[in-house]
Amino acid sequence: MTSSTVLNNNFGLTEHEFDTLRLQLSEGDESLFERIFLAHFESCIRYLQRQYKLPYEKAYDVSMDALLAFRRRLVEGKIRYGNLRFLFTQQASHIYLKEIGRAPSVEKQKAAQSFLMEPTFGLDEEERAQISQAWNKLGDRCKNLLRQVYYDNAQIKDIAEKWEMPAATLRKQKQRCVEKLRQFFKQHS
Amino acid sequence: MSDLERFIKGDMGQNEMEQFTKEMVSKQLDAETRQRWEATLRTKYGVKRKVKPSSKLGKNRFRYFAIAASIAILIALFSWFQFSDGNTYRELTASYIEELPIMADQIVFRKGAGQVSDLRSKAYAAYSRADFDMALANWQQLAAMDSLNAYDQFYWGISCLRQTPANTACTIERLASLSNQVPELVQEIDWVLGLAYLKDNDIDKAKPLLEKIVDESQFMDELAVQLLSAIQEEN
Repeated sequence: MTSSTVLNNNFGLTEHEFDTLRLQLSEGDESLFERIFLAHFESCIRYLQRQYKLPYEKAYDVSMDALLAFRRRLVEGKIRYGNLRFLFTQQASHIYLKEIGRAPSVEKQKAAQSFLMEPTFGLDEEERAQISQAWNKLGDRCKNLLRQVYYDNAQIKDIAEKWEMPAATLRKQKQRCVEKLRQFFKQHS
Repeated sequence: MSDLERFIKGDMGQNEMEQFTKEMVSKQLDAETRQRWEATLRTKYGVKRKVKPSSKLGKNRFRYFAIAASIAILIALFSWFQFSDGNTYRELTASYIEELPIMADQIVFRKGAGQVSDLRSKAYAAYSRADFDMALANWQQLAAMDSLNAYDQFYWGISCLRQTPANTACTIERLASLSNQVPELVQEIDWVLGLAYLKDNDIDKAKPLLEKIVDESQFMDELAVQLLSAIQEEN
């Protein structure tokens, strides 16, 4: 495959830039990710409109869900450099097909690095609103810590190094933050 | 009992508790990220979720409604007379042919690509920027040097179909005998050949291929079903 094709398949990113993007994401810096992927957001909308004849707003929503899922898998190290464009459109297709109850075939999942299927917990709208309220009650330090651990997939030891404190202490703090969330739910349920 | 209730009651193992906390935090932060991205898309890239409605519509609602209704009736009448022209297999075929370069990218990704010569590099570079005439010129030179491999033939076949005007005879010539040579490309070849036959309106040859794609649950089975339904409706 030529270098121009490789770049085109990867939204213009070289492998080194891709590694940088992942590193930045794990450190909470989303600027490069946003610059690259939001610039290609509209092409995903067009792809969905063409492929599934979706109305614009629906294609927009599915593209947004796909981008969020794609970000999540990137920080979890589940996406390899190779053909990001394909994986992104497959992510969008998968989300839409799952929504309408048509999961892609096993072969298709294999072709997409088997990265699409992932068990999730059931959370309805009311529960999500509760989570949002609980989250807003947390202090900034807890929010920051939980974000880094659970959203940016950072390792406790790396955060501890940055914050210049023992990892064991930080692990305790994380447990207390989760406990605060639980207590909030207990009080309001 | 819901997952959240089990979390509150502590009715989860350590690992499940971790996973659920991750899910909660991710859902919350996804919502915040979504808002930020929507704002960036709107302000920086001009991409908005909602299409702006016409401001005059409210003032002359009845008039516009009457016009819209008249147009709808005309369209319905037109469609009734030309009932086979809505979402026909021809339209579907044209749209799927447009998507072929994306599928071809997937093949390179899925099956890997070997070392390519300068001429081959030029052909693939031209192909990836949708300059199919240039890609074909390069593959023709490779053919003259007797250096064409099976993948070149495959992309050559797609390029013929993507040319303006499409050269379906060339696609069929390139791909018809290729299945036997490259078993790993059989599914892709079936799909492209099926589209080429449809482009020629040769339903007798396209249909068995599409049925094979569906029967064998090949990669393109869902799109093949759509084409078969459209063909059935029109015949």
